Amino acid sequence: MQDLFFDRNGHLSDLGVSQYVDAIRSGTTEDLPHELVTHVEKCKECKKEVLRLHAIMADIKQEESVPGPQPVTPVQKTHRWPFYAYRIAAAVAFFVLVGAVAVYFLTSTDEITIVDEPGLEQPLPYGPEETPPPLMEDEEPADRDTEHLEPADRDPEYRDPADQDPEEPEAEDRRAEEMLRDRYAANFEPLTLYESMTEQSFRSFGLEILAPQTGSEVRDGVTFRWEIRYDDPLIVTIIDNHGDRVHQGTVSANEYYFDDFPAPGLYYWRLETDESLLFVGKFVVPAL
Amino acid sequence: MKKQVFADVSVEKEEGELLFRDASAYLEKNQGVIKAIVLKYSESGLFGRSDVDDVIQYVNERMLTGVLEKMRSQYKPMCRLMPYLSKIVSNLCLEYAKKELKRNQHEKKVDYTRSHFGTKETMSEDIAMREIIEQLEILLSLYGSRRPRIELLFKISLRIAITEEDVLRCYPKCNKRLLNRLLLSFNDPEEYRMAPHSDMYGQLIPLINELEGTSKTADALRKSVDMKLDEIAEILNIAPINAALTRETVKMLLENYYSEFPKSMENVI
Repeated sequence: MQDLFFDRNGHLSDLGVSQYVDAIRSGTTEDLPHELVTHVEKCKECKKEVLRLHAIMADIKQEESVPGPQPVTPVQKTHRWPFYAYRIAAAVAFFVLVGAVAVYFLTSTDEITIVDEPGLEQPLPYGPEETPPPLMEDEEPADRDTEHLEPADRDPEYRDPADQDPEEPEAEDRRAEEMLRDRYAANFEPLTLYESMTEQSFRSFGLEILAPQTGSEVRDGVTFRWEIRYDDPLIVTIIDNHGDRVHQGTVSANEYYFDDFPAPGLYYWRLETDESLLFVGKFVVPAL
Repeated sequence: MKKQVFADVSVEKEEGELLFRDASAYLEKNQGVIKAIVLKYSESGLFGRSDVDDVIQYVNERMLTGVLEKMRSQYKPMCRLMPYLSKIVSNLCLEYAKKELKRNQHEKKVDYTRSHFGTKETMSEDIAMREIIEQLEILLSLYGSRRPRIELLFKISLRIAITEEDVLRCYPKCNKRLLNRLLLSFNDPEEYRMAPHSDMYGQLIPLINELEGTSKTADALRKSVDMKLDEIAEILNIAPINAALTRETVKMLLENYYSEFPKSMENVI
């Protein structure tokens, strides 16, 4: 039994961890081997493994209670598809690729280019009405022959910037703003635990927070201000929305300034003594 | 709960037989489980949503190229197969994430669209918090016979009123004099709420030393409580729980936990 549930390093083996989690889930921890229980009591790493598997299995209750195998029916046979899908899809993709390459070499010649073709109106691969797919950042235009042409010759829908609608730059600004916002979207996700603590006063000492307002936007740095009946220095900590510490400083005055934010996003700040937490607030550093 | 276990015995037996008879069919039958585990890790931010299919493929490939064989050689019929399979799939997910992390570090890629911690978009904050508290309860139960002492010290350091049961669970042979002294000192948190931590531990340590026959200092006791708080933070910060805790926020979590489940210890033990 000892060998079964423990690995060479004396920690729980995969089977040992799964046995422990199974016992927690079925309420039978008292039936677990004594060595298993006493080892987990003392071992931080094994506690982690047990808790990790317990957290994972919390979501697969449904699958676990599925009854045993039924007689195979045509409907069930279709369930085979997702498992083999990868290989079949890979094989199909391979043949399509080979075919496409073969067609390309058999049909293309050096003399014929799309620019030279008289029937330029014929549908392009991405469709006549649709806009061409955007280029990747480092990608160069595919058709270098058009480089020497005037912009108006290159693109039938080209319009001189002077003739453009004055509202278009604003639309571009809006698009740029949206792109920037999308890029930093993950930085604005609230952090569950800090959200639940925001605005609570934990150990008051008559603490009153004067600035910043909870959830307010700060653009050019932030000044934290408070009033408190406490003489010793306080600690100001700024945390990003991933729970990572961005900055920490000790302050004897009733205010503290900070402006070196690594990126736009949602930030939390904590005010603490060296022994306890006094306040948690939050503010936003906007993308633009 | 036990009834459910007995009802699943026949399913387990069939699953075990299938693993040994036709490992590929066993793997195929458990695609739902694999997907659920991969999605769980994806939700926790271990890898992006767009990687889910790649991870499932990776798990299947590794399973078919040796891992299933290893499972068959190590599995013992006295154990249930589903938790074991889940553990193996979990290991492979972590293995994939580790490889990806190395590759991304090598390429110096930064993916701003990926959330690295448990933002759990689809979950309400209440549900996420409930999950963390549930895991905290399981974690505390893993301390087994050490749990009553850990919880007594947590409650005292958090200025949560302790009860006679709290003390007797930890020190069943505690005499009336010491019990009264403990309750007098730490039963009314309002009285000692404003006292600095050093005073509180100074008041507590003679009682603990007398009960345990030791001669520790107040500072050593404070440090051991802090270390335990750090340990809880570290354990609850692992994927897929990703609670993003620090020592201070563990204190908040425990306050929350004890206000919601003041007698949870009795239910779990």
